[in-house]
Amino acid sequence: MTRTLSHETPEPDALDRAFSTFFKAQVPANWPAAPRYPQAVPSERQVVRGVGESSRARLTLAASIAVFFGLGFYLTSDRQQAAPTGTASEVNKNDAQADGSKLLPPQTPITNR
Amino acid sequence: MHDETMKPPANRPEIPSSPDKGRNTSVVSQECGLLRTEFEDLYGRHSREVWALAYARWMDADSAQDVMQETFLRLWKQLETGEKVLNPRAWLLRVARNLAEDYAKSSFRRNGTQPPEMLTGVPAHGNGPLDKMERDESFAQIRGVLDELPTADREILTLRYAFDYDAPAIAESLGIAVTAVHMRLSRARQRLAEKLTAIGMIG
Repeated sequence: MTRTLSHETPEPDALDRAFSTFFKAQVPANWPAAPRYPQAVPSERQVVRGVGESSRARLTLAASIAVFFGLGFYLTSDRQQAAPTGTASEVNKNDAQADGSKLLPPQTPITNR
Repeated sequence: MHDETMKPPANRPEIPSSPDKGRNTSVVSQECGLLRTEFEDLYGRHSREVWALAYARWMDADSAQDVMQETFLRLWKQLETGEKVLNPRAWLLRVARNLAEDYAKSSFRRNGTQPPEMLTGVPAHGNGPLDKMERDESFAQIRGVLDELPTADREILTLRYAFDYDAPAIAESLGIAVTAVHMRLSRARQRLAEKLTAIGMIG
């Protein structure tokens, strides 16, 4: 199918010429190229991701954070169990260090004030 | 002319758009290349019709170009998500009409209407400034009478006179019957001829 005028159409009259001149003058002289995005946009279809370097790095970071928090939690809970008063715990600690025995939690009576 | 099926695109790998390394890169770049080829094929086939519809709405070449670019950007997004567009021409023209409606309304709210001379945008082809003035004046008169027509008639006139489409091609583009094209074209031409004769531009 031809888009343009065929030879069967009548000879253009003054009106046709006037409109043709007008409308053709509105059309951009250099037809613009197809638009492009300014940056390459990754397609959503693209992605089958295996364990790449970035995934490994993320896992390592997560593990480090978990170890950090775990250690912190362990140390703080261990300190709380160690002794409520400073002097007794220091004495007991020194004894333990001197004879190498295991450090036992001090057995101090609970007093309510 | 078949619009529902797309031509098989040529294999033309391009620079990869994804930073992923490894085997996926060549596959991704090939897909992008195929998509780009498809897209540019559709642009080549339908951009003029889209422009014509956008132009017919507000009779402004600049906004028509903006609308056309935006329409095809949306097509690109659509294709990129993997969604199949069964009838690209119908899809494009529908989006273009909607965008033209929204675009020009918001533009007019911000800036108001421009005088006809400002919208002509016609490069000087005549021998001098007098020719340009005459041309601009006759264009302003034509624009004035065209503004009084319905948008649907202007769409037909734009395709007919800007791109020399015949009646069957216009009918196919707009999704209407050929007889309807003939009837509307004839009626529009008659009205325009009366008005332009009345102002002494023709006849």
